[in-house]
Parts: sequence; structure tokens; C-alpha cells
Amino acid sequence: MSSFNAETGILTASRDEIGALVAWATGAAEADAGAVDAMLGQAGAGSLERPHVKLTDALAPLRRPIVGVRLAKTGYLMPGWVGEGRFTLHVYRNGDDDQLVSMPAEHLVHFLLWLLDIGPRPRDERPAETSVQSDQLSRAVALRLGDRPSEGLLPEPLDSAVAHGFRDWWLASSHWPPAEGTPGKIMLEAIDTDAGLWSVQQLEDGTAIVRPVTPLSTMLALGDLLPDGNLVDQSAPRLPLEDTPVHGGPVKWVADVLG
Amino acid sequence: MRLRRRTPTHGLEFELEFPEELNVYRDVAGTDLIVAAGEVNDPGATVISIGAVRGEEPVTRDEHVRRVRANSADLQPHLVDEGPMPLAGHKSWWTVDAIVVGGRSLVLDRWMLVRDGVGWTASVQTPALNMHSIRDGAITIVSTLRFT
Repeated sequence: MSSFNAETGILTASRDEIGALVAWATGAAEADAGAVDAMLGQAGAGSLERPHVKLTDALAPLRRPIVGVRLAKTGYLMPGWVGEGRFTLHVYRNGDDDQLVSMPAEHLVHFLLWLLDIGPRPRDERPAETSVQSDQLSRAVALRLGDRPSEGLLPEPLDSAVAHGFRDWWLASSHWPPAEGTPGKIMLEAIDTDAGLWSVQQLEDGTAIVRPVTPLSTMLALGDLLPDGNLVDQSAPRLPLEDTPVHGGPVKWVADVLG
Repeated sequence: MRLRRRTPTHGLEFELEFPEELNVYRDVAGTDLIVAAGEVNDPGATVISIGAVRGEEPVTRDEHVRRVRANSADLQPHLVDEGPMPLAGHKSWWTVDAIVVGGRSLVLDRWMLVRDGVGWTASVQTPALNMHSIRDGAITIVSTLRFT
């Protein structure tokens, strides 16, 4: 049963229904426009031809995305878009009550601080770097996401932090049409524990470097998800269709471990 | 005889070093001094403020911190980080919050300390979009705070 909050502009519907709306709005995948229209009408959000003004705002970044955002949290990947000064995210919930949430683009960092529950953590000394096998790290994280024991998989003190104080794992990435000579993407991966936040840098040789990070440095890093104007190719009409995120879902390596 | 312009902190209990082009306000209730890049009431401005709570019973730093945070609860701050940090020769408690004011997403750094039983607060408010380019410079200005 879909619904629409005309005050906040939040559309609540099934995962497939929001996925179809996203596919239609971005143009990046096939969609059954008739079914989407029926869903919007039932929710009181207007129609594809005449969407409610708040839904028009929410769909603006999908119609002309400049930045594609992928946010993985608690084992699920969610697609998001930045464009026209707004940020819109397909929030994965239980599948029958997913939400399309939109806000001014400059609220992205504040929203992520709330969503990822970034706040003060202990300041105890931790090793500056810990090198681990990526598959071992993924296995430990996946086990903890499934509330299963992970002890002994990682070097200390990371092992104890993950095994006994695991809070969450998340990954946030954004990509955009880059200005010449500048990077066109950024990816942040972190493990959150009672002992503090840890950044994860995946290397091509199958290892990962895990470093302690503060909540402040995490906030500053999240701010990098919105690229400065000089990093974006201003002549690009939009993010190319093939790079535009549409669907999310379970993170494969988490699902593989948890069966 | 050459007339000298008074410094912006003339008559105050402290000195602060900042560029001349910034706007100075000394008539905003609850503060001793505000230095702003832009207009003080513009949420898009970067604002540095220094102020004390006078005329009350002596407080401890913890009491002052609790009072300051309680008084700003209407901002619905999202506390990002906090910890001890020296400021102007005193032990201060630093906090950084994400807040929304007038639809703008802002980062609010505060340093709270007690001097002779009086609670002082120095703060830097920066638009979140500019936090990489402006926040460090504004914090450098706060670090020049010296009580006289």
C-alpha cells in the first residue's frame, strides 16, 4: 500500500514500485509507466504527467543527475542522486515500505551523520594502521552483521573491537562527470565499533588497510561526497545513463557469508 | 597628533586577532563579541562569537557545558564529536554539532571553559558546504583568544 506525505514529500511504497519509478525518472532502465502511475495515484502523489509539487522536487535529481550516490549500510546497498540542488535517496527498509526521501543537497552530510549514527566515540590509542586480508575482513564484518561470532579472524585490537563491540559497517560512494584532470569518484568505507570508527582502504592486491578515524574526520570525509564545482565537468548535461544508479539490494559478500 | 582607531576588543576582557575585513558586532545579546564573514543574521555567513554568562552563581565547566547544550536544544544539534581542548590557557570542552538554521546546514564548533567561576563560550558556525575551505581558518582565529 503506497502513501505520500505532502508535507515532507516522502513517498512510501514497495521496493519494486519505487524501483520502477526510479527507472522511469532516470531513464536508465525499463519501467512499466502504467503501473507507476497507478501507484502514484493511489498514494495521492499525482501522476507521472502531473506529479505533486513535492514529488517533482524529489524527482528532479533523478531526471538530471549530476552525482550518483551509492550508500551501503547494514548489508544493504541503496541508490541516491544529486542534481538541481537536491539529493534524493531510495531508502531500503523492509521491502514493502521502502521510501523515496529528498532534501536540499547541502543537507546530505547532516542526513548521513544521522543515518550512520556518527557521534562521539572513545579516544583510546589504537594502531595507526592494520593490514588485513580483505576476504577475512569481509567475513568478520558479514558475520557480525548477522549477529554471529567473528572472534579470531583479524589481528588485535581490531579483532576484539569487531567481535565484541561491533556497531555497523557502511560504505558511501559518489561519482560524477569529472572535469579534465580531476577524479570523478570517491568511496568511503568504515567499520563502526564501540572502540571507535575505522576507515577501510581496499587495495588491489587483496589486502585492506584499516585505520582509526575520528567522528570529526568522518564528517569531513562525508562532505567530500558532494564534489566542489571545479571537480565536475560543467559541460556534461548529466551523469551518463550507464553510470546512473537505479537498483540497490543486499551486498553480495554479506549475503554470501550469511547464506 | 595621530589618532588611533580603537581595537575591536577595546574594553573587553579578552583580545582576539582577526582580519580587518570581517564584520564586528558588539551589541548582540548574550555575546561579548561577534566576528562574521557576512551579515550576522545570514545563516550562510561564517560567524565567530565569544561570550560569557555573568551575574550567576559560580559554575563548574561541566555545569557550563550542560547549560550551553540545554540552551541550544532548539537547534536540534547532532553531536558529532567532543573532547577536552585547551583554549586561552584554560581547559575547555570542545563540541562539534551539525545543525540546520533557516534551511541551511551548518557546522557548529564550541569551546566552553570557566574562568573565575564564570562560564565562557567561544564558537564557530560555518556553512556545511564550506566546512573544508573556511572552518580551519575560523578556528585559527578562535585559537588567538587571550584573556587580558
